[in-house]
Amino acid sequence: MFKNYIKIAWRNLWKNKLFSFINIFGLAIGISCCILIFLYVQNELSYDTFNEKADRIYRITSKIHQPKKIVWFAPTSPITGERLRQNFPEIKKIVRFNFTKRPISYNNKKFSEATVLYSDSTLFDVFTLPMVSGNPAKALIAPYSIVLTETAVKRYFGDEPAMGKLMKFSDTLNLLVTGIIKDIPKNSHFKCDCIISRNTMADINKGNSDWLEEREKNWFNCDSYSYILLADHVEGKTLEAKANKFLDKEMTETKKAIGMWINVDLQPIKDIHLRSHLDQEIKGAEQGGDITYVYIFSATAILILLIACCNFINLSTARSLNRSKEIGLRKVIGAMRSQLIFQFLGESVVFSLIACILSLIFVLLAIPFFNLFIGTTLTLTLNVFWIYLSLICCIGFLAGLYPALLMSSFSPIQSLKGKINHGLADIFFRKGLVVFQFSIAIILIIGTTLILNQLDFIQNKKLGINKEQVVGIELKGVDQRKGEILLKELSKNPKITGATLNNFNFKGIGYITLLPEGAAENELTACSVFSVDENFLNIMQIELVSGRDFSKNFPTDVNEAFIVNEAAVKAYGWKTPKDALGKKIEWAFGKKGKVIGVVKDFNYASLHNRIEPLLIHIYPSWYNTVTLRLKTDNLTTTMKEIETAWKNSGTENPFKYAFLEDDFNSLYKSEQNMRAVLGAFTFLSVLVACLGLFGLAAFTIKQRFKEIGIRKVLGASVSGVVGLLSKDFLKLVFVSIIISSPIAWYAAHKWLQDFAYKVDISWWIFLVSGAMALLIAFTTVCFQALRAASANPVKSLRTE
Amino acid sequence: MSVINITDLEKIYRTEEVETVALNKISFEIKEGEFVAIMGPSGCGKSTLLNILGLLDDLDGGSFKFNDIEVSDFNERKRADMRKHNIGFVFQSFNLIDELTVFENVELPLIYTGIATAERKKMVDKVLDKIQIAHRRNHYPQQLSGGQQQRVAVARAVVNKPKLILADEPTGNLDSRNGNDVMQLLTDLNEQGTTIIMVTRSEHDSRYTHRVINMLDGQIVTQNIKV
Ligand SMILES: Nc1ncnc2c1ncn2[C@@H]1O[C@H](COP(=O)(O)OP(=O)(O)OP(=O)(O)O)[C@@H](O)[C@H]1O
Ligand SMILES: [Mg+2]
Repeated sequence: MFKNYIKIAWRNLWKNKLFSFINIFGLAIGISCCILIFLYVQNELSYDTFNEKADRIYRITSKIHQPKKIVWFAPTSPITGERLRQNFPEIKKIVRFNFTKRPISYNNKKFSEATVLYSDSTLFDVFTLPMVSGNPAKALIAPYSIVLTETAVKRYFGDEPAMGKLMKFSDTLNLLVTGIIKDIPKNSHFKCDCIISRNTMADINKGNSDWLEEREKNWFNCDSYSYILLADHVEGKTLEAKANKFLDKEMTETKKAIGMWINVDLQPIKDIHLRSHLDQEIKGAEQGGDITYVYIFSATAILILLIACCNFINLSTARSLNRSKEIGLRKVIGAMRSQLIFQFLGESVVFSLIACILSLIFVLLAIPFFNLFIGTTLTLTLNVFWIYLSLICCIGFLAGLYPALLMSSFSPIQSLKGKINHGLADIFFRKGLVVFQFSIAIILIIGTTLILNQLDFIQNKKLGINKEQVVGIELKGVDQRKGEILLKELSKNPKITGATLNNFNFKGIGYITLLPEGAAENELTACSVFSVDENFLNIMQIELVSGRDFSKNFPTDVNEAFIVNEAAVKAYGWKTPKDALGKKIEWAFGKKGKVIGVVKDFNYASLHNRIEPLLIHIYPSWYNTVTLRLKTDNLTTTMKEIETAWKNSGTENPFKYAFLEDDFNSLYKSEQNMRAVLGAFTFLSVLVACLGLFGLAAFTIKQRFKEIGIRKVLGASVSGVVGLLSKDFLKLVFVSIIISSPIAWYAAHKWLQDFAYKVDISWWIFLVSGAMALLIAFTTVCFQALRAASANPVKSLRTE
Repeated sequence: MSVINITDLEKIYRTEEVETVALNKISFEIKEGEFVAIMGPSGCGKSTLLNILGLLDDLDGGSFKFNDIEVSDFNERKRADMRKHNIGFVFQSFNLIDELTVFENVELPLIYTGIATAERKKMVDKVLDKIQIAHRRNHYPQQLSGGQQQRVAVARAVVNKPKLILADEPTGNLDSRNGNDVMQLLTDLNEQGTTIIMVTRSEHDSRYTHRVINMLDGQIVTQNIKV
């Protein structure tokens, strides 16, 4: 019996090639999308799960309460972590991370490590990082110990043994290799190849008397990423409440004195990748992961699969007319209804099975592109097998059930006569399916257009700072004096219109707590800050609205001059930019000075955020970049010359640079990912929906072949007939536009809320998207209609 | 023993505006081993009657005993069950499944009755031999002549060894030579004990039968029994 079903399904498949192609191809596309997104989601959800104790690991993040706002940092101050550990036995272990960019070398082999990690010796008690050689309990205890990953060992030592060797740190210090670990898994929220014992940091600074006091004892010095391992059965939230009560008590004095205090938020480690969007997130961890996109991608992939299922339902049902004889006959011979249902379900399972096999090829082809665009490293895993299996069953059932129920309900006599009348409910249902398919396609078209629009807007928005033709050369770990030599050298190059030292960066600049003139003694506020030299404003073309720029003519500018932006003027209640000049600003720790100029508000961070108060000042020891404005012609030679200058400046650090424009664009990485994925999905959904329409039109028109013949004999024109045939379908697309527009509007509105600066959702997007859908649908149907309409009427009349 | 026994059988077709009384209180009995022809002008209700006798359609009134069992209140499931074990059908337009070969078409009823593969093969081969079409067992219906197709259809109707064969104008689409072949086949089957009820318009075909039931406007006019 089963063999018989398969046999008939197989032969039907060959006999109706168009029908089979549309179904299998459509399903394969839908399945491929689902599999790809499954791999993606699986990868996203797997972050940090390699840690055996992942369920008990939390990160202490800090909510810094300031007079008028709360800032939420991913790291916390060393003392916060330390005090909590001392007072709560629930905390079994704590490990604190700090990152540095100091260069590491061995035998003159020097690499610019993206990040070098300072870590407490408890690292291996908390995280699961298997050691290849060395003793995890001791490796990070002594200062100047370094643990390398296998990749780093390869890089510095090649095949030589690395254990016990001395490496150079910051050119002058010695580090002893005390351990080698396996590479940190890709799905870890922090990545690094070199780990140095954290007490090295204190030892380096032991000459600096303030350091310990300032750095390790100051509650607000939030720069250590602190992870705690809780005892079994301790709830993170419960501990968090207790910890905050404790901190409130500890900081009563501070709160009174400066109006600031810290609360903590214990973040489960597994939530960091997808659910954490905090300030000062670990570099690299802030990119990509976002639970919203996981939801959006999953939903879209499933919707495409549904579109393909709709094709199957619609085409099978339409085609059931041609199969009525077979159905009738089987019933006459004595088939039970259940047997027929089983047969048709079996057919859809066969179809989805073939589609799955095809999709395996698609997925294999698509994975490299997906990885390229999204920056993931997905591979096909064995888990996919189970997904395929369940998809085959689901699709087989979902797509096959309706046609099976419908076809098996035909009365045998009627079906033998070929006189099946699809009921009104059925026709309505099937039209509903087409409307459903096109609604999804249109929503995706609108969505993608809008994302394109917004990204375009971002790229072309006047920021108030000219980011074009500007390149930043990284000075991290480079001696301050060498930086200045480089600056002088480069300024002489005629291909460079300007050079400036600074630590400006779109990707994140520092905060400082300060007391502006006019505020009460305890009204400290946080303020964005970066330090620049006297050329910065000029070169970056930032407009001054009052006062003056920093100048070498005023020697006091170095120590006691500030430039603020308009937002700061407003926030500090200084009435106008003119009034602001001469106002005093006092840092919570350190610098004091007066406002000498006010700049027009410019976007110094992501357009996701409003422009907040900003402080610009001169502070040479903070500079980490030489920023250059280049002449437009021949960038490659200019870059070569800059590199030569870099080498001549006497630094051994690798040459690293980035164009400001690229830095800026990288702020919208997840949006760009979304554009790539959604763009592809939109294309596929339209393709699959149109395939369905194409098939449906083919069947319907075939059914009406005789009618068309008669009409033509009676004098109908080709265009008349095409119009007649297309009308029904276009009506459905039109209904889809009406249904999808408000849904798309709502979704777009939600998405845009993430941006402080955004495009208006204009009506033309809907108009153009709708028109596009209509046009695509019309072309699809038209192709069939034209063929039928221009056929010789005598021929069509003979088709009986 | 009677295979079919109907009394006051009624069938009414209702559409929005008209009621058609397709069968108006019909009663008759058909004994085991009979070969009966049903004749009458177009639209008199022959096909309707045959469909009811074949348990393909339900009736609106009267009683219908099949093998002495009252079946007028049978549900679809029971009817399908009764059909597949007891009744074979032959249609004017052959109704072979285009996607299946001759062999597979004939095999189909056996699959539904749940007979094992090996046994099936033996049974099908035997009937195909009998209708002399065994050499074409792997052909598809489109590759056969009308007469051959109808012989295959008859083979399919009898492969299950049903008690009763219902044939609705089995020769209607055939020329006289092919028609005679089919009639001869039916006669042979009848002689081996199968009861046959056949709707026909052809006087010639009716001569093969024992008895002719003449119908007009949903009623029986005469039932002449020949020897
Ligand atoms: N599904 C139906 N709905 C409404 N009326 C029907 C239906 N099927 C048959 N009839 C009517 O019932 C009557 C009997 O039809 P039936 O098909 O039994 O006639 P017939 O004797 O087989 O005719 P023919 O010799 O032309 O095949 C006719 O008047 C026909 O119009
Ligand atoms: Mg008839």
